[in-house]
Amino acid sequence: VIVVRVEFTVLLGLYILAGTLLALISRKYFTRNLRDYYTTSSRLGVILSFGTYAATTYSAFMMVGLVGMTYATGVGALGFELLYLASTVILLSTIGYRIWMLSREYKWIAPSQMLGDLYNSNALSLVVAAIYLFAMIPYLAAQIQGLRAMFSYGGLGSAEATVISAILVYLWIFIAGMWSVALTDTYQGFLMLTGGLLYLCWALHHAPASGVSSAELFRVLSSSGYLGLTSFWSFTTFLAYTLPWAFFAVTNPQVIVRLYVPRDERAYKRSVTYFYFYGFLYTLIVVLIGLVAAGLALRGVIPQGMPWDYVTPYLLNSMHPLLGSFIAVTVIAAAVSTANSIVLAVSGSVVSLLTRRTLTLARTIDAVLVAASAIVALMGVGFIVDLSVLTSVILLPLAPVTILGVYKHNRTSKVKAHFAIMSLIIGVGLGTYYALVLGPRRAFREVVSGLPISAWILLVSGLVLLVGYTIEAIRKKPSTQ
Amino acid sequence: VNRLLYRIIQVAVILCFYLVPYLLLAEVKGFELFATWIGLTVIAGFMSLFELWKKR
Repeated sequence: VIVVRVEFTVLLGLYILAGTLLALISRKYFTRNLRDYYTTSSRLGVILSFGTYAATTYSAFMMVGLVGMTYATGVGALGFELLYLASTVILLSTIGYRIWMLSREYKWIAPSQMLGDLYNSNALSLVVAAIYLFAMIPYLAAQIQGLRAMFSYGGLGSAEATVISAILVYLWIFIAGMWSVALTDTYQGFLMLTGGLLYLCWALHHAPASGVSSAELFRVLSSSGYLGLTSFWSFTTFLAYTLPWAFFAVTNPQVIVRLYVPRDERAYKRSVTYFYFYGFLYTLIVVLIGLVAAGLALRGVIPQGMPWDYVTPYLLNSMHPLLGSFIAVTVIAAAVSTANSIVLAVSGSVVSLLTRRTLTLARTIDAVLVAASAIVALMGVGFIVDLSVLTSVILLPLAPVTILGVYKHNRTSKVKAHFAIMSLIIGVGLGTYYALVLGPRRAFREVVSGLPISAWILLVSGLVLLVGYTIEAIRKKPSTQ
Repeated sequence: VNRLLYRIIQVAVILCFYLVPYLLLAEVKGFELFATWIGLTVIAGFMSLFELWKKR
């Protein structure tokens, strides 16, 4: 018999109601044209630019996956997540700033359109949009499937959870596109941070309440090696995890689109600064929760050896239902804010390819994307959902293409565009080959000739692109003499 | 030259995320690794923000 938690239902209802009200409020700024729908026509101020970036980039992975990962593998998870933050801030301060400036000139609505313009190639736009569809639908399905674990905490079944998730993801896009998504993202970003803080306070209080003092907790973590590199974090595993994430800011469409939205230089700079502090705080909170959970497991308070994704649901069940329900809702907020941003970014890429672009068409494509992901999640197509593990790896060939494209776009010819397409096809093909042969989960950590697959993808696609740039340079030489 | 030097230091900080734990702190059991990664993130973050705010 499934028992629905009243606290969860009430808090979920309040969360949806408040979000929907905010989305409706945002409609008064929405001018009903496509650029406004996808990028707010670059009119967002500091708080919304920062809020939507933070909530989009940090998904439910933080409170579920990263807590579980730290619980199982120790402090290495901190290095992996902080390396993402450090490299993202470097990218946002350099190439990100340049993308923001160029977006004001080109008025892009999607990153595939951006690459098409930078390389002067419609074929490249098409290839990039196809890669987004291929890589992001599994990721979306995984987000919706992940939401089910939180809904099941509240006593809701799999089908109800999928339907509610899909409606929620679509509703806040439908109301005013990027305007409603950015406003609800900011609201959800603050919910996520509050949920994380409460979760940490509970964990720190739970330890002494279970007879384990803080000093003892960290002594046992230290003596068992959890504060150092555990056997899980071999050098190649660390590389396999960090490489795709280090370039996340220039490969994932949902975050690149967010570089187009700040209204002026001040908004861009401040939003990056606030994001850095937010990310730093959120990462520390989540890793500390995972370390406390690891210490509690070592002292026998909670079970050892739980699968990563079971740790947070287990701990939620140990809390007061009101607190557990609130934290579950904040995890839902994290997943929704990421999922609707992905839908909007992928749909923008598809729409930008079309000659006849309308708002109705954009909303229809959004609905199709949400429905397709929900069906995949509901049917439990294992391979497709598992493929989400490889999403950032599959998108990795976009890193060199984007970085070189942004810095060298003034001197672009067809040769570069052809080699950019080739580098993407070879890079994505390599990732897909290993996913098919080994299975996505094994492929992620597989080491070939001393390096993980992600490193090979980056090297091979980068080299192919460099060949194109070299040929271009050689061909240009005679004409300049 | 300054910009190049700045970029080299930024890349070195990122490389330290890999090199320091695996070459220097592989066997530690205290908070050294925790503190090192936090320190590197602070250096990378403030260097980047400083560069960003100098841009016009």
